[in-house]
Amino acid sequence: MKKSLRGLTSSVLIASVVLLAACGSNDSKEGTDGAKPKEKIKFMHMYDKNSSQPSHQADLIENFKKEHPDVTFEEEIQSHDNYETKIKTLAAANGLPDVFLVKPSMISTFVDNELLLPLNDLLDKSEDWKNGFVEGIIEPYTIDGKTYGVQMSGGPTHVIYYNKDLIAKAGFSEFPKTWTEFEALIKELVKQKITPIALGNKGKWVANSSYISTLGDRFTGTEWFNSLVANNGAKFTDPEFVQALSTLQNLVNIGAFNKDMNSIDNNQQRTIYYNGKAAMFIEGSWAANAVETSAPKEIVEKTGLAVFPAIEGAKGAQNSVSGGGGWAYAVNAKVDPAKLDDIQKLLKSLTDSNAAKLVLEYGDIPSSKVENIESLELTPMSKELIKLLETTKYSPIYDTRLSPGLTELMNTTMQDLMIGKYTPQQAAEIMQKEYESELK
Amino acid sequence: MNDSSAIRPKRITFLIYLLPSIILFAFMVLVPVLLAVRYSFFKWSGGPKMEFIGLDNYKVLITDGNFWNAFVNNLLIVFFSVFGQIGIAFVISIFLMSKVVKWKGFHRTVIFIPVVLSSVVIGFLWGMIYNQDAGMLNWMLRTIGLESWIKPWLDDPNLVMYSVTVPIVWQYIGFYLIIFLAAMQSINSEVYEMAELDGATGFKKMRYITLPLLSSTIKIAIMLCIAGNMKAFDSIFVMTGGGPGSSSTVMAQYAYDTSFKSYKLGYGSTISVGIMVLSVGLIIISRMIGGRNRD
Repeated sequence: MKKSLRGLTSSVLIASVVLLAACGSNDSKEGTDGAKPKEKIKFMHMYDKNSSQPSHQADLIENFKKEHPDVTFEEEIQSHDNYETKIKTLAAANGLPDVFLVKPSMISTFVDNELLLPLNDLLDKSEDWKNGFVEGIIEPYTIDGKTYGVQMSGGPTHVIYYNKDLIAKAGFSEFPKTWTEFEALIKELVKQKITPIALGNKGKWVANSSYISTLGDRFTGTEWFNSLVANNGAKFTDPEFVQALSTLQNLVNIGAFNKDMNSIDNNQQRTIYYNGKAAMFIEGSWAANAVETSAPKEIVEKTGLAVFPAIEGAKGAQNSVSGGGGWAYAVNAKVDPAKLDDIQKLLKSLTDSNAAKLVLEYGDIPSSKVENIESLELTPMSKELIKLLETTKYSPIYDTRLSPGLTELMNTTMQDLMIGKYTPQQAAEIMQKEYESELK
Repeated sequence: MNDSSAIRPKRITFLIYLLPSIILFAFMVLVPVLLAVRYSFFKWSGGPKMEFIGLDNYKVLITDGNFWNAFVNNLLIVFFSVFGQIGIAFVISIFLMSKVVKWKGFHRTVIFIPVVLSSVVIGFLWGMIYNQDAGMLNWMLRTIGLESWIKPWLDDPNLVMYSVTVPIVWQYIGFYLIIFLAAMQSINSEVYEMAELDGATGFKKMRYITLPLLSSTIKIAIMLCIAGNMKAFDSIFVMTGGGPGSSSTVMAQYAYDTSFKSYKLGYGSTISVGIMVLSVGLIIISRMIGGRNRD
């Protein structure tokens, strides 16, 4: 018995040593810089050049590879949803690649854990890159004056796509200019048995990102949100924000949405609109491209773009639209400094104003300024979107600026609010409670 | 027993053959569980910064309404599964054992098919069945003139738990069916013949022979059922994402959301440990109710 036990112990030991050795062998290459061939840049992203939905970033990455054959990559490409899970898991395991994509909501947690490299030095190397960004676009990625992410596109997260014919049938020759008219339109559409707004909130973020971020700002003004983020006294229970919540709940009450809004997702909400069963749907600028490529032709031709109309008596700017933040490139804090030059070139070529042209041509809203937009060949919807954005200004997107914990709670609470489980006041109190517990 | 040792391999040989599975099990089950227990004492958002907070996470867990709400949802699924899956499987297997039913192989296969499908597929499938406009369920109700019964099956907070439980029950009937069929086939047919000679009819045979001889199998089935449903997650996640609000959130999803959406990995681990404790507790309770006398 004794003998067999010893045999067992030694076999376990040997096996674990082998396993550990297998795990650890990746890190053993350090300290071999110099004349040796350059190490590959580990690059994780979600832009597959062979995917059915083409993306500007995949093109830009391919172009970069052609122009810089000396820079080599070790690419890992994930689908959007998998990407988000994987990057969070890698962050938790402290095994991030050199260059990867982050959302603004990840920034503060990642920076807290010292995972991200400040990019100010990289940006300073090229003045026209640094100054080419649209105003306010870099803010969501900036903490204490240090920028941790550069993004390629950042349109509004709130755009109303509406069917001009159906609106006209309800007696509106153009999109309502005030909230009262907007509600009147919804009531009229309900009477005509047309779903006023197709909503697919199964993923829980749509109501937060595309609805309340803009609606809330109309009521509270941007100052309130900044004060909330900076912990300067603003509260979720402030009457203006509660009013925004009750306005949203009221939309549900007057029948603005389809009954199955919580069990279909944002792709399915578009389908209802494509079928002509719904007069509107509300999503970010990213949906413009989807409408143009997937909707039937007659729907595309009838589609107009708008934002929430002005709310009488509300104190915020009435032309603001939540937007500006999206996925951005970030760099691992522990990156080998020898790679930084190449990384700078890579990031610049993916996000500067040359890249922005391609972003525009793909129907996205770029993060860098583009001159002579008229000379570009753009789809009608992109042109209309750009025209719409000329009359609006960006306000913060709640779910990209607040902490992940608070965002998750807000998402769930808003769903509960919209099925009538909570009153607006109760919902606001729940959010406030989580907010306070996170400050501790 | 000792004389059989000539053909029996030595103990050490046994251990060596078992070793690969033990190592795999240790790395894939034991180590993660131990790590989860360790993480549950930390405030941790992922990454190198971890703050030891002792039992604070557990204090929060005990008063966390969302967690207990999710636990009640799990209990509901367990309740319906124990009676639905095991009950229905038992009845069907009795029919399949009797001489009246034809095409036994066909029935068995059809009932078993959902077991081999991935829960994600099941979720999508039933999501389509429940769909308000294009779904089969509402279409059927409309066809047979029961328009007034049409409901947003996955959107009514009072209804959603029942709606998501049906596919789970449906999916695993075949699994228990196979277990019961195997157990019933192992009952010596002489016992039945004797009973028939004594004049026992179909129901009496079931009540006095099949059921008692199957009791240990049923107990194991109930245990599997509880263990399986305490970690229910995938099909519900696909159908409703836990919504509307948190109406159909189960414990596993709450742990997932907390860990990977809210970034509270420490607290997420605490929830996982909570799930483990509650599951083991439930199984022990079910064993006690099942009666120790026959073991």
